[in-house]
Order: sequence, then C-alpha cells, then structure tokens
Amino acid sequence: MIEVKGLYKTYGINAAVRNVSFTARKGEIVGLVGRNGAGKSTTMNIIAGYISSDEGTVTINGHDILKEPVEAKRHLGYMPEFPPLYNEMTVYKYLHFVCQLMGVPKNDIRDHLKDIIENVGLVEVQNRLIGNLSKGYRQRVGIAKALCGNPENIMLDEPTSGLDPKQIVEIRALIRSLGKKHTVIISSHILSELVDICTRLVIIDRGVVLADDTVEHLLSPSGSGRVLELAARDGEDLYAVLANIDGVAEVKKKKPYNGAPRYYITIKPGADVAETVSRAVAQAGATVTLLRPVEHSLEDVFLELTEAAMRKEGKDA
Amino acid sequence: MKAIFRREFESYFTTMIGYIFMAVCMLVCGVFFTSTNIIGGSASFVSVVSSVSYALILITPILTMRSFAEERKSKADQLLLTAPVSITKIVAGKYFSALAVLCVTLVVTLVFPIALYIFGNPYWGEIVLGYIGMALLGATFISIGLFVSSVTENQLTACIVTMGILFLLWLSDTLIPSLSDNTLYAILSALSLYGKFSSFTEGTLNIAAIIYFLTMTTLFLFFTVKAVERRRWSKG
Repeated sequence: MIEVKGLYKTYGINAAVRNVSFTARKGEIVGLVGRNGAGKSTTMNIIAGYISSDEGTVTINGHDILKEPVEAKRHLGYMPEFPPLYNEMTVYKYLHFVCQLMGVPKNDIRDHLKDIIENVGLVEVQNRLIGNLSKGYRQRVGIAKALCGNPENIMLDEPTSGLDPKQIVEIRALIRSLGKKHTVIISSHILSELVDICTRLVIIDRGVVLADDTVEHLLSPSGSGRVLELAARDGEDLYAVLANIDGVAEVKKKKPYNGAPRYYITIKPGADVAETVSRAVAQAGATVTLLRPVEHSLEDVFLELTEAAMRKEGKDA
Repeated sequence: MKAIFRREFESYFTTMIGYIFMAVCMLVCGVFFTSTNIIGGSASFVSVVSSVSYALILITPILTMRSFAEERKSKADQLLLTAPVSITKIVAGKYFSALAVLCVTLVVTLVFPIALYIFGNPYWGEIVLGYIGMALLGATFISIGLFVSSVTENQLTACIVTMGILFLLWLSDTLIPSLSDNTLYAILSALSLYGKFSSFTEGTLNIAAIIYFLTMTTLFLFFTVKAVERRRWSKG
C-alpha cells in the first residue's frame, strides 16, 4: 500500500507538484494520467525516494520514505521513465545485482530470476550486454528490474513506451496479473491503455490532482455531466418540451440521426429522466428512434477536467 | 554494500578504466625502475615510490571520475538511490572498489622489488613503508576524486577538477618553505599531503601521518555522502 499526502515540489519558481495526495491499495492498479510535464514522473520519483518533496509525506507499507528509507524502499519495485541500466553488464548479471540490492537470499536468486526473465520475455537476450539491446528490450529489462525481490508495491513509469504492439499486449497482460497480488502504480499518456489496465485513475495536470476515481466512475455517464442522446421523428420541435422536464439541466440540438432531429440532454446529478423523456416525446406526438446514454471516453473526461481547471485558474488570476 | 563493491570492481575491468589505470602505473614504475635501479645500479626503491606518488595525481581521477558523475548523467543513479541501501553504503561500496583497483595495481608492481631482491640486496623496511605510503596517499586521492565526482554531472569535468585539486595540493607544497605569512603557512602545511607522504619515503613510520591520511579520507567520504544526499533536495 502506498499513501501519498500533500506533496509539494518546486523547481525554482516552477511548481512541479502541488498538493498531490492519493492512496494505492493492495490489488489496485492505479494509473497516473497527465500530459507531458504534468508532474507524473516527479511524483513517482518522490514516492521512490529519488528526489525529496518540499512538503508532504509518502508511506510505503507504513514506512515513511524519509524516516525509514531503507525499509520503505525494500517494499517498492520502481521502473523510472528511463530504466537505470548499466550498459557494460549482461541482462542476467544486472538483474542478479538488483536482486542482491533488494536483499533476495543468495540461494533463491537463481529461481527467482528464472521466473522473472520468463515472465518478461528476456530468455533469449539474458546473456547479452545491455548496451547492445534495442529500446524495447531495454524497457523490458527495466520492468524486470522492478519485479526483482518480489516487492509488494510496483511502480512503472511509462512501461509500454518503445515497445512494439505485440510486446505492449504482453506487458499489459503482465501488469494486469501483477495487479492481483500487488499494489501497482503506472503512468502513461496513452489514455486507452490506462482504461484497459487500471482499476483507478489519478488525473494530474500542471502538478495538481484533478480527479481520483475508479475507471468506471470516471467514464460512466452517471454523476455530473451525464448525457442522454435522443432522436425522435415526426412531431414538433422538442427542444422546449425537453428543456422543461424536471431533472434536465441542458438540451443541445445535434445533427439529425437517420433524418430524425437529435438532441443531447444533460441530466442533473442523481436524476433519472429516461422514462419521463420518452413519455414527453410521445405526448408531443413524436416517435423515439434512439435513446441511449452517451459514453464518455477518457479523452473527453481528461479534456473536460483540464479545461475546467484552466478556466478556474484564469478566473482566480 | 558487498554487491555494490563487486559490481563496481567488475565494471572497472569490463570497461577500459581499470586496465588503463594499471597500465599507466606499471609504465611509470617500469620507467623509473629501469633508469634508477637497472641503469643506475641502485638498490633503493625510493625514487620509484615517489615517482608513482606523483603519477597518482594524473591517474586516480580516471578511477573516480565515472563513479557518481556518469551515473547521474545517464540516470543510472536511480537504481542505487531507490534501492533499499543507505547512501553511506553506496559511497562505501564505490570507494572500496576503487581502492581495491589501486591495491591490486600496487600488488602487481611488487614484481619490481622482487626483482631487486633476486638481483640485489634491497632494504625491505624502506620498500614496505613506501607501499604503505602509496596506498594511503592513493586512498586519500580516491576519496577526493569521489567527492568531486559526486558534485559534478560530467565525468570529464570530474576528472579535470580532481586533477586540478590534486595538482594544487602538490603545488602548494613547493610554496610552503618560502612563505612568510604564518597563517597561510599553517593552513597550507596542514593541507600538505605530500609533506606527510615524504615521511614514508624518508624511511620513518609516522603514526601522525597515517592518522592524517585516514582522517582526510573519512572527511571526504563524509562530504560525498552529504553531497549525494543533498542532490535529493536540490531545486535545480
């Protein structure tokens, strides 16, 4: 379990991270989402104890990263954005060294490494020098590095960058299986990937956490901003009818659907209006040809949140 | 720490650095051995010892330049700094690996005194003292080099700055006798590494000198630990 509370980090006058807090529990795969430079890597580096925060605390399995660094780090396998590799070592020797650092008992290292090397798909390159490996393989060595010592918490910064499509599928499957027994934090700017793997998402923009929720919640049309799509043929213009229904926040006219006028109906939080809407449409003499909730994509959610944050900041300023 | 020590030591010999260091050391030894002992027909090993001690100014920076600077640049330092190992152990591992390379090199140069023993009648006390002196001087140089490497981000900078510091320390020795200012005299003679080293080549086992070198080494290793720690808090 990783607990992050109130992290602040400034570089000169630039705030890289502002009041970042979240918790990742066992069995969760938490995705850190954000644009380039949003503060994902800084946050991860602070969690891993590579850099310090100006304020705030990080505890890993109950151990504070600053007060008990060695204990805390023992429970964390971290792959930074650029895997820290030694080019003059072979893959096997490097991973062996990492196991020693993580405190794996000498007699267990061989079997432990055999599993990891098979899982990450490094069998054929294990005796090659890291300096001669391609980007994809280097990335995989980085992932293998994070697994050494079987830590309860695993943190991967952009794990699939530089991999080919087949490798991406394999690594995603690996991360999903890790998520069952470990606490996993991954970051990515490929949003569809995170929706695929993660159970929970923390959206960060310009150093601030904009949302921290399960993937279902973030993407489901329930909650604020739930939208119904309606198309109805025949009958009069329904705009006024729809706008007057109790529980409807806003109605927008869209391009016709199969020739029938189409509307986007934004519903107030907690309201359930599907039945009322269909009845009202029938009373107005029209026939419903389409009525369905509009699915948000993570891209929509992300853009909406970041734009809202920017507007708010603009007002504050 | 043992794992770090082993990895660093092996890396000296999977890259060119360890070999270059040994080769230069052997070359210097060989040249002075040839000129004084073989051609000059002397059985004294002192001139070889003092020439190697000057060569250390040029070659120890090669040993230490990579240790922190290069790793910081390539971000490989993230491996050690996020591993469950204290910074003191990281510094110790790196320090002792460099020291081990120096010691191995010194052991290899023993072929020269052994040759002296076979063909002549050397004075062993002088040779043993010379080796103790070289090891202590080298150990101090390495700690200075390690410290410089920990505050720079480029191995070439680390190398040149270390060389500069060691060179200045050596230069200040030549200034000391002609100084009239008492304070400056006191400061420079306190910093004078070669002043302390000369007691070994003069054939005396000076405990104060041994303690001096060990203290300097510990001090610079302490600075190194602090410098690595400080980086975490940097705003740059």
